[in-house]
Amino acid sequence: MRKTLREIVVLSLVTLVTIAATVGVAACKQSTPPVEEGPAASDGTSESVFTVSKGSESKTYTLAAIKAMPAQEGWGGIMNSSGVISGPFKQKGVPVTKLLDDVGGISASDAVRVTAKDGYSMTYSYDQIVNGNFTTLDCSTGEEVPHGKLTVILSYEEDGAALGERHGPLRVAILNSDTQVTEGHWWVKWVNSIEVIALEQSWSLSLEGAITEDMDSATFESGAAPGCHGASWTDADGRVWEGIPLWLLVGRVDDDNPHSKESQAFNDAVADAGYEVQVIAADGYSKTFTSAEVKRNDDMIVAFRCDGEPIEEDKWPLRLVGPDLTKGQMVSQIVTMKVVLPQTAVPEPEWTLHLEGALTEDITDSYFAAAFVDCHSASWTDDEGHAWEGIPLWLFVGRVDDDFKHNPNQPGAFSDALADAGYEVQVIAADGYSKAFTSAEVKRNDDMIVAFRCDGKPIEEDRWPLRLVGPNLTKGQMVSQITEIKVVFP
Amino acid sequence: MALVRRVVCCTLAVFSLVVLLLPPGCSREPVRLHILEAGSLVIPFEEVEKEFERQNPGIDLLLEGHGSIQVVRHITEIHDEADIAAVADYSLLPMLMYPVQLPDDQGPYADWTISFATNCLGLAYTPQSAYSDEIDAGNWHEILSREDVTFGISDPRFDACGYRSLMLLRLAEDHYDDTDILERLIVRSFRPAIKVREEEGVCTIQVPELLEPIERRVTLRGFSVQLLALLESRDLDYAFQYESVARQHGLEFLQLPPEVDLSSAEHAHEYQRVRVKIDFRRFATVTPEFEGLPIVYGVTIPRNAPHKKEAVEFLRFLLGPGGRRILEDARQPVMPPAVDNPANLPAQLRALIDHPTR
Repeated sequence: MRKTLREIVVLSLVTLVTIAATVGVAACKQSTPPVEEGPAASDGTSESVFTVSKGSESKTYTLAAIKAMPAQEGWGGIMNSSGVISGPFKQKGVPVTKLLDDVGGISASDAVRVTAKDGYSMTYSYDQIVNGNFTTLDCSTGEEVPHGKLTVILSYEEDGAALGERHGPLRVAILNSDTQVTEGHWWVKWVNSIEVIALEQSWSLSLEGAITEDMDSATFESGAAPGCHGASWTDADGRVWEGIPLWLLVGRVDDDNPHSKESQAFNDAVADAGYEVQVIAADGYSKTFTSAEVKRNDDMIVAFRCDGEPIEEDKWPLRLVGPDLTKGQMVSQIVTMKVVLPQTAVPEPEWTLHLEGALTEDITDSYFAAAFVDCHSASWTDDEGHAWEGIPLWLFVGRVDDDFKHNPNQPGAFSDALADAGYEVQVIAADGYSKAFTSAEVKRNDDMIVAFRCDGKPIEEDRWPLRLVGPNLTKGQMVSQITEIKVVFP
Repeated sequence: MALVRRVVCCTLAVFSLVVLLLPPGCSREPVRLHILEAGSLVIPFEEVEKEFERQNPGIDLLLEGHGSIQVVRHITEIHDEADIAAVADYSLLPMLMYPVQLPDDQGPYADWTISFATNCLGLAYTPQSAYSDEIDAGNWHEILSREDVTFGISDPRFDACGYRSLMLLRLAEDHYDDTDILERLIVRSFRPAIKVREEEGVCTIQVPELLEPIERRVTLRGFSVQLLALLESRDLDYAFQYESVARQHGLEFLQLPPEVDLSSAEHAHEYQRVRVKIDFRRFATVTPEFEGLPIVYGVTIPRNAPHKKEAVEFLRFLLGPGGRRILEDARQPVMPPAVDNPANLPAQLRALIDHPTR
C-alpha cells in the first residue's frame, strides 16, 4: 500500500511538472511580441495572383510565372510618414518595366496605377517607373541624399524569404543602395494589378488681339465652372456641351485692358466700332464672325466637354457650338481665337505714364483706369470741395522698386525693405518740372495720390492728364501734367 | 497524513521551480499598449510616454506614427490590433471607422471620438531663409511669389497638411483680396494642372492623380516632416507646416491670421467654403474629398482593442491635467476634451469630458 501510494505520488509529481512546464511555455509564447509572418503555408505559386493591363491588352500571372522571369536583386527600404525607417532589406523580384513590356510598354504620356487587394492604389509617373525618379533618404539620418540608378520591381522575396501574408505575396519595391531608403507610400503591398493609364492631356488656346494670351487648359476649365463663366447648350441629339461663351474670350484680348473680371473686360465700344473674330482649328480650318454677332452672345460657346467628358478625339480639345450655328460654323479642334481689329478700332492711348526704377514700365490711360476700378482707388477732397480720384503714388513706385515682375493685381508689390534702405521718388511733369520725395515719405502713404479725375471728370486741361494731390502736400508739391515717376536709388 | 503533507509541499515546490525556470520577464511581462498616432503627435506622445510609464510600470506604450489616414487604415484595412488611434483630423474617425464593421458582426471599429487638441497652419522657416527679416503675416504671399524664394508643400494626395495648405492658400485670396495667390504659387507650378472651380460659393480644388512640380523653386514632398530637413539644410526658405511641429523642431514659425490658418472654430463657416478633391482613390474606404474644417485632433479606442482597460487608463492620463500639461510643454495646443457620442464612451472616461462635440 505504501509502495502504491509512493508510485501515485511520483506519478502525480511527474504529471504536474509536465503540465506546469507546458502551461509555462505556452504562456510565455503568448506574451512574446508578435513577429512578422513568414511565407504563407501554401505558397500559392500556381494560382493567379495579379494582372498587368494597358487598354484592352491584359495579362494575368501566377506567382510561379513571376518567379520564372529573369529576376533583379538589390537593396530597398522605407521611411514612413512620420520619419520611421525600416531597412534596407535585400529585395528580389521582376522589374515593373519588364512586366509592362508584355502589354505594349509605357510612353511618356502614360502613368502606372498599382492596386492592392484591399483597394489601396498608388499612381506612378513615367519618370518614376522608367528613370527611378524618387526622393531618397539616408537610412541612418533620414536626410535627403542624391541617388544613383533606382529600379522599381515587383518583389516576391525579402532577405531570402518569400514575402509573408503581411506584405505579399507581391509588393512594389524600389531598389537602391544599401544605405538609402525611399518613401513608404510607394511600396504598395498585396499587389494584385498593375495598369498603364493615359494621362489627361493638357492643351492651350491661343488668344490674339490687341494683346495675346495663351490660356492653358486648367485656366479654361476653371473659367468654365458653372459658378464662374460656364455656359452650356444641349444639341438636338440631347448631348450637353459645356464651355465658355466666345465673347468672354474675345474680351480678354479686345483691348489692352488686362482685367481679371471677364464680365468687365469686354469692350462694347470697340465691338461697336467693328472687328472680326476668327476661330481657327489645328488643321488651319477657320470661321470668321463679326463683332456684332459675337457681342455678349451667350449662344456661341467654346465647349471643352460633352456629356461631362472631354470632347471626342476628332473634335478635341475645343469646339464652337450653339443653337444658331451651322455645322460648318461649329469649328472643332480649336487652337486659336483671333480678334482682327481694324487699325482705327483701338485708339492710341491718350497719355502714358512712364515709370522708371529697377524696371521701366509705361502705364497707359486705359490700364490706369482699369487698375483704379479693380482695387487701387484712392480719393481726397480738397479745401474747395473738389473730389480728386486716382491711385496712391506708392503703388506705382512698388511696380519698379525692384526687379521682381509683379502681378498686375497684386497689392503686395511694394518692397518695404528697399524703402527702409532709402531712395528718392521724382514726380516729373511734361514740361520738366519735378518734385522729389524720400522713400520714407512715400512708403505705403495713401495720402499721396496720382489723380486722373476731379469731380468725376478728367482733370482740367492745364493739369491734364495726372496730378499729384493729397492733404499733406504743398501746392508746389502737387505736380500737374505728370508724365513720369522715377525711383532713384543711392 | 504526513504523506499527503509531503505531496502538497512537493507540488508547491515543483510549481515554484517551474515559475523560476521560465524565461526572465515572462511572468512579469508588462502589457504592451499599441498606440497608432498621427505623425504630428510623435514628439508630444513620446513625452507623455515617459511619465505614463513611470506612473504605470505594468504598461509599456508601443508608439507608432503614421499619416492620420494611414492610422485608420492600419486598423480597418490592414487589421492591426491597436489599442488607441489618435489622428490630426478628428473627422476621419467617424468618417472611416464608424461605418466599417468588425469581422463576425461585432459592430463598427469605433463609435465615439474625443477631440482633445488643436493646431494651426503657417509657414516654418529659419533665420537664414530669404527675406526672413521682412516676412510678416501681411506680406508672406508676396514674398513667396518672388523668384528667388523657394518653398515647400507636402503632397495633398498623401498628407492632411498638404491638402490643408491648399485650403489655406485659397482662403488667403479672400482675406488679402488677392485673387491670384493659389494660381500664382501652386496651380502654375505643377503639371498636370491643379484645377480650381468656384460653384455656388464653394471652391473646389481638384488635385490630379499625378502631381509633379515644374518650377524649381517649389518643392513637393510626401509628408510635411520631410520638409523640415530641407529647411534646416537651406534647400528651402519656407514650408507650410503645423505650428506645433515647427516649434518642436526649433524652427521659426510665421503665424497667419485666423481667417486662413484653419485654427479657429469662429471661422469654421469660412473654411467650409473650400474643399479639396483628390483625383485618385488611394484607399478603398476613403473618398478623397476633404472639407475645410478647423484643425482638431481626435482619439478613440477601437472596439477590437486587445487591452481596453489599459487603453482607458492611458486616455485618463492623456486627457487629464498631467497629460495635458505634457502636451502643452511639448508645444502641442490642447482644448477641453469633448466627445461626439457620450452614450458610447467608456464610463471611466465620462468624468473627463466637459461637453459633447457639435
